[in-house]
Amino acid sequence: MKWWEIKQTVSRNQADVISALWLEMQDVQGVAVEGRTEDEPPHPEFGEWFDESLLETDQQVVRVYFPETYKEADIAALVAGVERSVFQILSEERNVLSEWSLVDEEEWADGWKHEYVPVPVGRRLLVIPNWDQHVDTQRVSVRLEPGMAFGTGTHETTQLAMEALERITLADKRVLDVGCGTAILAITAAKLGAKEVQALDVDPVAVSVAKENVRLNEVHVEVSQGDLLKGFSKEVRYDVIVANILRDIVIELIPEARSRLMPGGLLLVSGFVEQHAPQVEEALLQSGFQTIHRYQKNDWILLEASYT
Amino acid sequence: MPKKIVKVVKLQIPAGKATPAPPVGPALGQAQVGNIMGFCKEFNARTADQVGLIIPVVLYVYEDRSYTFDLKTPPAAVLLKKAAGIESGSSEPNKKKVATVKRAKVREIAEQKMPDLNAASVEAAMRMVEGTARSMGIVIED
Repeated sequence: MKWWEIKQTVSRNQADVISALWLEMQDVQGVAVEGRTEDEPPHPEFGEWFDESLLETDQQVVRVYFPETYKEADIAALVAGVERSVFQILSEERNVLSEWSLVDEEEWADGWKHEYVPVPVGRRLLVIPNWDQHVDTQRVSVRLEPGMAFGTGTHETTQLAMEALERITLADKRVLDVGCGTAILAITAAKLGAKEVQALDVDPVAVSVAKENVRLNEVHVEVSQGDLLKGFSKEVRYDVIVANILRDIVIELIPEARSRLMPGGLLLVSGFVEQHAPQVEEALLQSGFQTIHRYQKNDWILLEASYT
Repeated sequence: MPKKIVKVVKLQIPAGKATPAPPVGPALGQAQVGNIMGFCKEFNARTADQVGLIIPVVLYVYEDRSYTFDLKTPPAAVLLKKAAGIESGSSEPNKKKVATVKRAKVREIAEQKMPDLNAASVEAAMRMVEGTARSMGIVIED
């Protein structure tokens, strides 16, 4: 898919007003402003420093995007309207440089691949991007085509969940991965010996990425689309349910998960930061779960709970 | 070992709803910082309590292409719209006024925005917020 990219080089004063004007418009999902001003103090807690060329730039570059269904004349009219409003509001000279062009989603979707390398996780696992020829005989490899879905093995929550799966004896176990993204956790479970693995995601893009990753890894994982466990077979009980999503969604899942677990089954939940963990712990307690392990990487948390 | 920042980009996006679509995808893609979904996940988790507001987030991109981000307070325009109970500002702010906001409310917004503004005093921050209000066709009254 292509998008109209409108790029406006403006003064510091103008950047805020222009951003506010664009944010008012339909189809605008946000605004990006490049360049630093003294209004944005740096973030020195890890001892970073700034490239001198970036220090307090006078000019900033505002970027805003519209779907390709807009005609070029519409884009030109929108830009002219915004310029007019800025000059009226700030009573400034006409010194905004506006340009626009069609850009292809592929340009940013693939640009980062060059920086992606195999990532060892836990004691035995290794996540390898599909385009990398790396072979490791010491570790269990999980190959991924990450694309536009979450779960590349680089995020703390994914690593926490993979490590938690690694600690459990999965042989002969039935595992369900809810909100599977790339299916990295489902594939990990299958590679670690689980007898039967199912994966669910509400996003059809993730479902298609997940199916592709399952095929790449030559494992048996059944991937389907679903909103948490709604409409999902109530007959089957799992030994392990893993969900690396977001706090509120995990809280919604917890009571549903209880009815799908075997007695003594385990629920692994992640995707929330330390300050939000008490709410998840409370939800687990309310549903009759007992939190048996709490793992942390930076400020991300994974809770392992059992249902008896 | 301190890390050198090579790029700073501020995004203004809806809390809890970041996706790889523009402007997030191009901003991260052009900076070649990797995993766009990873950023969306982080941002959505950290702004889960503020759904419905536009949140500015400043990305600091390091030399090794890793990055960190800093969540800011919502833009003055967003807080003003909420205070005035309006969906959008005026299309002709000089001629057509769309709402009125009390000066006490402006002070409250200025105080909320202080950590992100380079203002020496709350009064200076209030002047900045009042400027934004004018640009939206919002009248300030005592």
